[in-house]
Amino acid sequence: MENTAKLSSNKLIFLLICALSLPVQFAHSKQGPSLDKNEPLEVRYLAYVYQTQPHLNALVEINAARESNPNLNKSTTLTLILAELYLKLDYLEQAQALLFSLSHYNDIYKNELLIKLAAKYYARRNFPASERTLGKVTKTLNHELREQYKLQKGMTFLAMGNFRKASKVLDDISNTSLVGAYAQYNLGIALLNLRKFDRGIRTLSKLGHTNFKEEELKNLKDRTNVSLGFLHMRAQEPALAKKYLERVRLSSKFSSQALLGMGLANMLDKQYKEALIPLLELHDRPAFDEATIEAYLAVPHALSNLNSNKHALDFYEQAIALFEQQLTTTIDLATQIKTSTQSIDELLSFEYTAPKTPLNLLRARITGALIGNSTYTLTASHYSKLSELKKDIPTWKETYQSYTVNTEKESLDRRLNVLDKQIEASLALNETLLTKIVLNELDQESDKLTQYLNQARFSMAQIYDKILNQRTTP
Amino acid sequence: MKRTLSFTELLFSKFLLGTMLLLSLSSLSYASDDAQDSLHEQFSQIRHNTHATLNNALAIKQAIARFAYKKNSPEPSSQLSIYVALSAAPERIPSEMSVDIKLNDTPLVHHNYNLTAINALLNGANHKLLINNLSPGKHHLLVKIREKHGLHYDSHDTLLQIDKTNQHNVLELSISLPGNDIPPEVAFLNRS
Repeated sequence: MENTAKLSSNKLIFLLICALSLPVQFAHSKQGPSLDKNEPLEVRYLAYVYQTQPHLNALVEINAARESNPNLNKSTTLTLILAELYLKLDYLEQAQALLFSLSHYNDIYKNELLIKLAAKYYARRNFPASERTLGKVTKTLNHELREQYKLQKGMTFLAMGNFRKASKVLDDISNTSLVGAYAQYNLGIALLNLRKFDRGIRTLSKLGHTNFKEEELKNLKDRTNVSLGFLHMRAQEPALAKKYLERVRLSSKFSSQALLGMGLANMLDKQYKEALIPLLELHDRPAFDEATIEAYLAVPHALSNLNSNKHALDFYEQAIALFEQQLTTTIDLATQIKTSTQSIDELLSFEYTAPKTPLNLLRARITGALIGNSTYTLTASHYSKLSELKKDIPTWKETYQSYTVNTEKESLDRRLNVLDKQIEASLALNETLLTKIVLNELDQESDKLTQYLNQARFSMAQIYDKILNQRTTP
Repeated sequence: MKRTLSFTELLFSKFLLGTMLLLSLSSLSYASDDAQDSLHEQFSQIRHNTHATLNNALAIKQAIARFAYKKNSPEPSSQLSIYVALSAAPERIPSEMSVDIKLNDTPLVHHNYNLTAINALLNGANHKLLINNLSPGKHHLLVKIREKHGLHYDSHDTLLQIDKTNQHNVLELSISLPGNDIPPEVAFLNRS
């Protein structure tokens, strides 16, 4: 209860509402629905096509078979296979229509597909469709699927702002599994959003204490501890913040944030010497992320508080050099993106093991930001699908040359020519959007660097002012 | 002096808030609402356009498949279709397998199955091996099964007789691979 007043600022609530709800990737079943030996041979043959052919080929062959033999439409197995193929190819509306048409059919595999469909709608941020789809899931579920169902439902409620329902559903998941760990994390967030701070922090804290074997869960634990650390820092409780941040592994992908957090918590505690230990370690790292960039400001800030003004000035100079260099690189990269014929992918590609050039540092930070941008990832996925399609079309032409008559050939040729132009136009639109998103990201990076640069220059001026005052004070 | 320090602290608190935003809102970017809204609106329009293109592609691919299916479908005349079904003891599952059929000593069909195809068959799916015209009457079919286990190949021939009627005949070529060193059991089951 003691935290409630400190933590209930609107800004914090905003932060939490927007943040942190984490999706979990569901494993894909590879074999489709179980096949009864009494199924007609043609159904079992189409199941063979489904299991051995690329998804699109299998999909169109099964549809063609169903069109020419209406008896096949009665096969629930084929309907489920088709629904799965539409789902895998991201034709969600078609998958939904097929699955909803099986409302009389109560089957675990159908339920698994419905949960996956809901997860895809969720990823597209179509939360009402996700909720509608989950509403069709029947009680026939095994333990693992039931947990996945509850998690997806809880996350959908969370995304729709229905925290009370989210909390109720997520609270009902056992916390020993992968799904359970994610549920606990999301439950913690739901509780914080309900302003049940003590219970929310307790839930997250429990997760932050658990020893996991899987790397994915170790990362979740690190993320939880970093979030808790910063929550407590925001509540002006640096000692508690440090307790959580200390639990983050040094090899973790959240270690930079944890090191920065440790430094900041020590500074809040006015322990500037202790603050320098994690901050200097972070400062020595390549500036692949924002936390490292911020360490360039935090180190001299701590030094100036220790009255080590000369060292502080040296570090501010390093910071200014880095910010100026990164700012120039940002402008250069933006110009290159506007004028080059290379693809966005090529212009942003880098390896963490590659030389730490200014361009690679910037690419790492921009790529990191873009991975979390759903508009970018969906557009990139559309672009890649259209590019694959464009490459594929000549092989489509080859396939029908031998078995169609001239009039059919001409009609297909015409349709393919129109499609070819349509793909070109769609590719151009998606490419333009990708460019805009990246340029927008670079603009924001440029704004941030300018702010950091101004802050570093201002702080330097303050130190000079301080030195001058010390000299003139008798 | 006092005023300067408090201003530094103010800057510092902004800087701390920036870090918090970064940590907490990793999926959100810093763009102004207007810029984000404009990108989102463009995205919605482009997504609509992309889906229309992908749906058109699917419709054309479907039309092509329809012609192909019509070509490969049996006529309601005296044709013969053979589907392959497979079962195997766990220790006998081959990494590759081929089926050859000779009709009255003339090669009729040959097909190789990779591990994916073998697994599909073991899951209960059938492969449509053959659709062919055949005159009515008794015919001798020699079925050769070739299995690959590690670097070794095993081959077994089975001679079977079928009685082709005046109608479209559908046969299931049932292949069973029992334990090691036992010859495969091969049989034609009438599924007409």
